[in-house]
Amino acid sequence: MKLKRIHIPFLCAFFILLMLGGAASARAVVYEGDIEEGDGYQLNNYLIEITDVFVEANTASYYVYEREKKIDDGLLDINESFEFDFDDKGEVQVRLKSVHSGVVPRATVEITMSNYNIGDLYINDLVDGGYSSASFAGDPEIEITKKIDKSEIGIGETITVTVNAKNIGDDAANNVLFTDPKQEHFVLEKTTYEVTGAVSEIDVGESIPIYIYELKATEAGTFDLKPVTASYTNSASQAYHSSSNAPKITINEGNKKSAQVEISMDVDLKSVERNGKIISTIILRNTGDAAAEAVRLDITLPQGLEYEGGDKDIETIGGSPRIFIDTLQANNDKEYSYVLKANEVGTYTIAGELSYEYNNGVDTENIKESAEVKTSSIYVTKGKFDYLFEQPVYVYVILLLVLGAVGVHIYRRHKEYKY
Amino acid sequence: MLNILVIGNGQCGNRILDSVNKHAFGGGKSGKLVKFYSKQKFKSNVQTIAFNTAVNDLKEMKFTKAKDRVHIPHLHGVGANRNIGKRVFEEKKEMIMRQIEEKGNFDIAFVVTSASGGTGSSFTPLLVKEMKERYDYPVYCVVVLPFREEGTLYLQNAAFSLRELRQSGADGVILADNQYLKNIGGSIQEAYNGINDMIAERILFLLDALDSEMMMVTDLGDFKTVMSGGAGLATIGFFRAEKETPIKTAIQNALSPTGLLFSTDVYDEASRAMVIIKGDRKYLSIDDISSEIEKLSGAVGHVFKGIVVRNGEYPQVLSVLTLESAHELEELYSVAVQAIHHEKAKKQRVEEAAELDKTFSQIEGLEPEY
Repeated sequence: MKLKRIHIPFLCAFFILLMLGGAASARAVVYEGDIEEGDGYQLNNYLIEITDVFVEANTASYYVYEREKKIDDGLLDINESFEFDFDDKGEVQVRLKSVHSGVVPRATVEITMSNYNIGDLYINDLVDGGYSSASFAGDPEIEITKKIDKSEIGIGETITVTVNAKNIGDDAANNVLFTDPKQEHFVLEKTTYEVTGAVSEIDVGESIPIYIYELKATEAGTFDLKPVTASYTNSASQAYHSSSNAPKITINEGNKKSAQVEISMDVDLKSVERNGKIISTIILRNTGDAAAEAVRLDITLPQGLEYEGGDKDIETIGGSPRIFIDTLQANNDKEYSYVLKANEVGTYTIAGELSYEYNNGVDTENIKESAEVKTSSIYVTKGKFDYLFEQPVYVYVILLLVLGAVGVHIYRRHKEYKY
Repeated sequence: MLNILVIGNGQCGNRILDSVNKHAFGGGKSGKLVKFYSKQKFKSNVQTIAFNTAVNDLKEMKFTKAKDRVHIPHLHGVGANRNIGKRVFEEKKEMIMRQIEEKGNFDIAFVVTSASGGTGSSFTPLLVKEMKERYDYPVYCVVVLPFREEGTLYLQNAAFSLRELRQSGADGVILADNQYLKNIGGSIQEAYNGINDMIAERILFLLDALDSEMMMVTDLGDFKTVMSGGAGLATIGFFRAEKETPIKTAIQNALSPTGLLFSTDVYDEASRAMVIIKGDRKYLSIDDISSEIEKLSGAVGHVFKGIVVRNGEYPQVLSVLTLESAHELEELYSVAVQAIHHEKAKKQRVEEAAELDKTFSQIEGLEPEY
């Protein structure tokens, strides 16, 4: 019993190691069957060819090719095997199980693989005729070249981008799908040529144009154009990817246009008596090199001043004048004038809020600008007859009584003399 | 204080009365609005009445109170026909006299009229007669004679009206002659206005003088005495100095043709006179006044003189002259007689033209046949 207790841990450890060792060297049977003399069995680009079957000697000779290159050969006895390295560190073992005579002698073999997922095999089949009849898949390589005609431009200028693709691999590229990411800092101005959809095949050494288009620079800086990528398969439907170069381009500031609306807002009098009139003159001048659009001047009048009238282009909103110009061309100006009535004594300024927008010729969206303007102070002084309205109430009462008496007197006299 | 009644009859009388009222507001240069801010400055209690058959003439008046304008209804005037005028007066006599009655009692009355028009020339003799029968105060007429070229109807109206006025019992007739005054010049309207203003200014001066305190006194009694002299006809002379003028010159001007309302030779035709002098004391030299008055009285007989002292005023002289004879009036009647004959001849011609009626009478009782 004591002995049993000592050996139980060792037994457990043994089984665990056994299981691990079995998993590491687990082989999967790829093929178990006959291969006639002169035929072969292809696993991807590897071909195992049974060159001769010696029934009397219970042996068979073999060649192993990796594509066109023979990498192994030998003679196997029954139950003897050989191994060779496979893709991705996989290993293939071929064991001769038996040989058979007939019109065409044949060998019964068992092919197993280790360290490789047999689901990944894209060729797994007998090849009638052996090496001379086998076909091997190559590695296509699409070399994508992205070229630009200028490496330094200004904002708003364009570059021509030409993208070509060439298969520099050893196999045709199939279902080649190109992708050209959208470029930041540029807008697509014009497309001269582009492939549509996937290119079904690009033969080895074949070169084709992919894109020809123009990009307009919208922002200053130095940028790398994003590479064009391609995805494709070889003749064995293996997937491949390629990327183009990423040309560098420098974009300079300087060619953006702008509108610059300057405003002057003046009054003809700095000092005016109450109930007097003031003429305000406004000049809007675009000193920029782009047209100003939606030019709007909202004039805020203080309470003591009242808008009386002005040029027909001046509209009034809630008693305050407003000027609106659809387009004020570069190097143009417009003049407006309006009349204000001074209603109350005080010191006032007239404020104006100017807003406009313009297109700089580069950006798609208009640029909005605003500014504020004020007149100098306007002093509204007492009117010539204001003192008449500043007397105590009794003065007006007396005045009214006197006027009333005079009125009655005149009326009575009128009646007295009216025939 | 004297109570004075001034009546304006007909268009001419209305206008002169309105001018008197206008001057009473403070001078003839006052505008139309003077009545609204000024009061009439009569020294006496002066009541005015305007009578007219033409309502438009009454409407033209600007300075006479509406209640003092009396319309005597008869269409639109009597058309210079004195017979119609007299008939209308008889029809409306009580209404007219009631208007005068309502004005109160008076010490003196003046009736201003044209001798040539319709209403004035026909109403005035009858009105004066009625007033003299009903009231005991003196009634004087201020009569305006027509332009000689105004027409035959006016001339004959003037002739008959003046005669009836003398027969009406009027205490005196003060003559103003448009013909004599027409040399005032200007347009017709300006001439009429000028004449009216001249007459009004003299009447107002007289009214003022009759009730003023004087340095040398003339009063209503003196005026009555003057007016009772001569042939019952009188005229008024006036001079207003516009600058410093010797009082002798002022008196002479008031007696000269330029100052009189009627053409007369004062020293030859006047019977009695009254001279009223107004002005600042410094201009009123008693010696000069006496010397000039003596000269006048030497020619006409008796002269009443009155002096009213008004500080700061240049000399003004009013003369009232009764006439023994009036050569100019004789001339007027001579022309009027011609006018009457002329009218009569015309009427005869028209009656003769009635013979034509016989020509038309040939078809009497016949009807046209077609």
